[in-house]
Amino acid sequence: MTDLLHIDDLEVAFQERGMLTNRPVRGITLSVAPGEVVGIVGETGCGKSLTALAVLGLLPKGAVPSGRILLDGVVQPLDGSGSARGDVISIVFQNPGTAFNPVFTLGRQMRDVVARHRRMGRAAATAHILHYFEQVGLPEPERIFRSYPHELSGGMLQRAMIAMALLCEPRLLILDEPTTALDVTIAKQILELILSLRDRFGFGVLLITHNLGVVREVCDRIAVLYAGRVVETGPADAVLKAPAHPYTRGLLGALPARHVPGQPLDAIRGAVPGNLLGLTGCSFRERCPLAIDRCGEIDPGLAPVAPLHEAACIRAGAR
Amino acid sequence: MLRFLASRLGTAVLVLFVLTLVVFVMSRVIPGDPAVVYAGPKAPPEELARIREKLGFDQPLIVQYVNYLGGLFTGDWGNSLATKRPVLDELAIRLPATLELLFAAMLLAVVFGVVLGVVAAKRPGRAIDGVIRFLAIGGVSMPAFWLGLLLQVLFVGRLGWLPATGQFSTEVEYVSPVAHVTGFPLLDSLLTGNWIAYSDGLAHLVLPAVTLAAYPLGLIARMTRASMLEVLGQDYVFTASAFGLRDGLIRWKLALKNALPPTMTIVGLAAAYTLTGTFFVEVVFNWPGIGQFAVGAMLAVDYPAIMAITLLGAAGYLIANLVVDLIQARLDPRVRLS
Ligand SMILES: Nc1ncnc2c1ncn2[C@@H]1O[C@H](COP(=O)(O)OP(=O)(O)OP(=O)(O)O)[C@@H](O)[C@H]1O
Ligand code: SF4
Ligand SMILES: [Mg+2]
Repeated sequence: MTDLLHIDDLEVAFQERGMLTNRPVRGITLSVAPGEVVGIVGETGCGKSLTALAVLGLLPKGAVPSGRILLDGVVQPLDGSGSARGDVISIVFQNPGTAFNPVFTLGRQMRDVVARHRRMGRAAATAHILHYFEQVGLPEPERIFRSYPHELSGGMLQRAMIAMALLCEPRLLILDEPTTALDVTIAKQILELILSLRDRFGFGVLLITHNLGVVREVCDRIAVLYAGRVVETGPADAVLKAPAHPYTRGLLGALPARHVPGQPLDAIRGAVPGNLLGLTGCSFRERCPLAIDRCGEIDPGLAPVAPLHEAACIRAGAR
Repeated sequence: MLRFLASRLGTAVLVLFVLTLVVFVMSRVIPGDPAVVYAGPKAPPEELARIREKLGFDQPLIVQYVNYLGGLFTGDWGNSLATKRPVLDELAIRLPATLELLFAAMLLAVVFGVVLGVVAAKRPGRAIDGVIRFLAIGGVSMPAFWLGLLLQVLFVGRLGWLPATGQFSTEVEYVSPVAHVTGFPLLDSLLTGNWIAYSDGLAHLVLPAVTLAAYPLGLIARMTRASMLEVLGQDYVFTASAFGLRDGLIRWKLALKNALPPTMTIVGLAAAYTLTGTFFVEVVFNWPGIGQFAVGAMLAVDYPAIMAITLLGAAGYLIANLVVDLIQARLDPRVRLS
């Protein structure tokens, strides 16, 4: 079976006047199958958003990507010149309050998206949009269609954003911290909505989050990122129950109560290395309670620790 | 929207009222004796006293002010001391020419200013941005009469492409006179299909309109660039490109609508400045408008004319800002709420 999305050894470096300044993504390999929800977790700055943007071909100026991104087995241009964006793949951002243009109605903004990707008359496009407002559980779709963003609450806007992301029946939905800006009960509803839509439409989901509670609730598989690399990946249950990498263990152990959502992942002592250019050895060495001399010499790659469960640590599973 | 309009109108009327008072007080402290202006410097004292009485200068100030206000409402704005004809008539015959010039200049300024601003914001710091910056700063800092003379030297003197002065060539009056429809000469020539007069009028309009447009155009271009750059950094623009919308649509249709309200504020201010700019430009191009008349009135201490022109200018300024407010409210739903 070919994966829906396959990210193969993705690197993202930054260049200024021909000089490499940083390399925040250092070889990420990751895949998402149709209907699967894959979580990407990790501290701030570990490269989560850059990975998502690379998939969309939306990297900021100065970014130099390498590696391969395949959709249904087809290699995508890394500069975003393909037309998958907004069509086969769509994205929902963190802050629904600023993600919509304040001077256009939601209906107008969504019509632009439909017009870009589908041949559809005005009336058909409107009906199409209203249909998706209903799908995401927005009451009074006609009113929402005519509303400006400031007239709706954050939760409603995020539902509308999800509706917009569904307009072109995407095969892959990327969610970059979709609930971080919302309060807890609304966040829970949005996550439930995403799962039920996934069941209905069968798209794959790449869910980026800080929040292990969110991962526990919705993800089938997770990839734990540290300093621009996947340091542990596997079925969500397995990784959460038996974390193998000291970083993942730290994240989980640092959670005050295992089921409290909304906790940031910043409770591990120390900080992420600022610049990843000249790094040798294991990138987690400085903060690792299990570090030994050899950790400074070799850069561990992902290795199986259990079926489907991999970790990048020479002492994976050690006490 | 109606309430919004009503509140803005109310403010405008109040400002105008206060202005009548200011204008009135100022007219009484202008140096120079209006009676002398009226009767000529060699008039005997009894003649001057008679004229003062006729003009109402012998009455208490408050009575004079009330009379003045009453006159404003009944259409009696006083007689020009210089021409002895009603000021309102003098203005009425000149206003259309000035408004046509002003409109043409603002149209040029807004269209080209906005376009240049958007283009400059496309590649900030690159060559095209630099060229536009140079043009904009040039337009803002070049005095209007100087630019007008330069353009005349180049396009009239050297190249001979365009007429130097006036609103129409004198022959037009004989060959194909403009019929009166709205009173706006160029517009009337268009409405009556008088192509000879229309093309002649357009050719006459180009240089003064460009001269007058330079300043507001520069301001508008700079402001559009700045607000476009700000808007292009916003999340919703990123959303639009994440959904695959084309760059041209994002810039020219979406982001521009966000960038226009702040630009419109500048347009209002620039329009006011341009209003005073017409004074110089009309003199340089011998344009038969209010500006020329105003300069004459100031030199002659023709105070009823000066008062009327001041009020008219203020009204023009208030109207321009009202229009700006309305456009802003139309563009941005959040303005309508405040
Ligand atoms: N435009 C840029 N220029 C230079 N470096 C950048 C740029 N964007 C991101 N980076 C670098 O890439 C790193 C990873 O950024 P990214 O946005 O992927 O982090 P993230 O994991 O999404 O963090 P967060 O949880 O805060 O969203 C950042 O720490 C920063 O150093
Ligand atoms: S390789 Fe060494 S330093 Fe890196 S996580 Fe494992 S034990 Fe820690
Ligand atoms: Mg991020």
